[in-house]
Amino acid sequence: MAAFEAIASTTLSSSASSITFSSIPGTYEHLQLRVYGKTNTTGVTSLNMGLRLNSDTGTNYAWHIIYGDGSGTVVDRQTSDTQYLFGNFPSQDATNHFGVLITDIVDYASTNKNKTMRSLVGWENNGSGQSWFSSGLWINTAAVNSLTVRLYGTGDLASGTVASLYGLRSS
Amino acid sequence: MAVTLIAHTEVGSGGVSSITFSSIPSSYSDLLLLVSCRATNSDWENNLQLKFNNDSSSLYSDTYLQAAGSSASSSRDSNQTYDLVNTTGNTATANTFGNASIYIPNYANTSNHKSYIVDTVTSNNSTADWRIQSRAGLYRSTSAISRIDFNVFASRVIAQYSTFTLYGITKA
Repeated sequence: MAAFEAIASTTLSSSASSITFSSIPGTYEHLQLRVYGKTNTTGVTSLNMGLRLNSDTGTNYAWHIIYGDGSGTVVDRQTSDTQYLFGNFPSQDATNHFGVLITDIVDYASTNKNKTMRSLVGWENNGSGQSWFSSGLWINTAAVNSLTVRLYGTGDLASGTVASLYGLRSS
Repeated sequence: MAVTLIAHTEVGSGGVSSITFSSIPSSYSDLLLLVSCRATNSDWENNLQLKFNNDSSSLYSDTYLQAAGSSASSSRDSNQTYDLVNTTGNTATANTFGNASIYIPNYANTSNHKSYIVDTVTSNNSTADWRIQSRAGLYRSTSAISRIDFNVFASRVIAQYSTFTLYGITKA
C-alpha cells in the first residue's frame, strides 16, 4: 500500500482570500502541504503568507523563521500570534512567476501533542527573490481537521495558485 | 516516485533511551525519516545522537545553517562518532515536540560515502529559546545503511508519544 497519498488539491480559477482544506481524515500519521502560488496584489515585490489550523483565530500560534533575500539573512520570531507566518510569495508584479511552499505537519492527528510545523518556501524573479525556512507551533492538542492558507496580512491569493494536501501513512 | 512505509515507532509510557531501525532492506532508492520527539532533560532543547549501522567510528561530519534566539549562524563538526538531531527538551512548552526530517539518498550503494540532510525545528512558545537547523551530513562509509539508531545522552529519556517513521522511496 502506498504510504504517500493525495488527499485534496485546489487550483484557483480566480483570486481568493484563502484556500481551505476541511474534513481532513485522521487516518494518516503526517501531512504535507504543497503550494504553488502568488498574491493578487500589485505595487509590492512580495507578501507574507499565513496558515491557520482548525479555523483557529485565537492567539495560539508561535513561529520562528530565517530567510535570505540575496543580500543577507533575516531572523524573526513571534509568540501569541493569530496564525503561523510560514513564508512569502511574489506579487502580481512577478509576471508568470510563482512561489513554492512545502510544509510538513508531523503527528497532526495526535491528541497528546501541540502541533509543530516545518516549512521550506521560496520564490525567484531574476533579480529578486527569497528563500525561507520556518517553524510553526499551534498550542492546541486537538487533531488537525482543517488547514487554511491565506495572506498573513490583507490581500488575496492570485488566480493560478495551486494548493495540494498529501497524507503519509504509518500503518 | 513511490513512498513505502518501512517501520513506525511510537514511544510508550516511561520513555526509552534509544530507537533502532534494523534490517533496513536495500531495495529502495532513498530513505526518509520523519521524527516527532521530546526528551526528559532539564532544558528546552535536546540533541539525539544519530548513528548508522551501529558504527561509533569517527566517520561522521556535518555543516549546518541555523537560526536561534535572534541570530543566524553556521558551523561544522568533523570526525565525530555520531551526528546530532536537535529536538525539544522537557522545559519547553508542555506537550510540544520538535520535528525533524532526515533524507538519505542512495543509502544502499556500496561505492560512495553517504550524504544526508537533517532539517529540524525545535518549536517552543518563546522568542528566545528556539532553534531551526538545516544540517548537511556525511557518513564516510561505503557500506550500505541497514541500521539507524537514535540515542539520548546519559540520564535522559525519549518521552512518551515521540514518534519515528521510516519510509523507503523508489524512483521511477
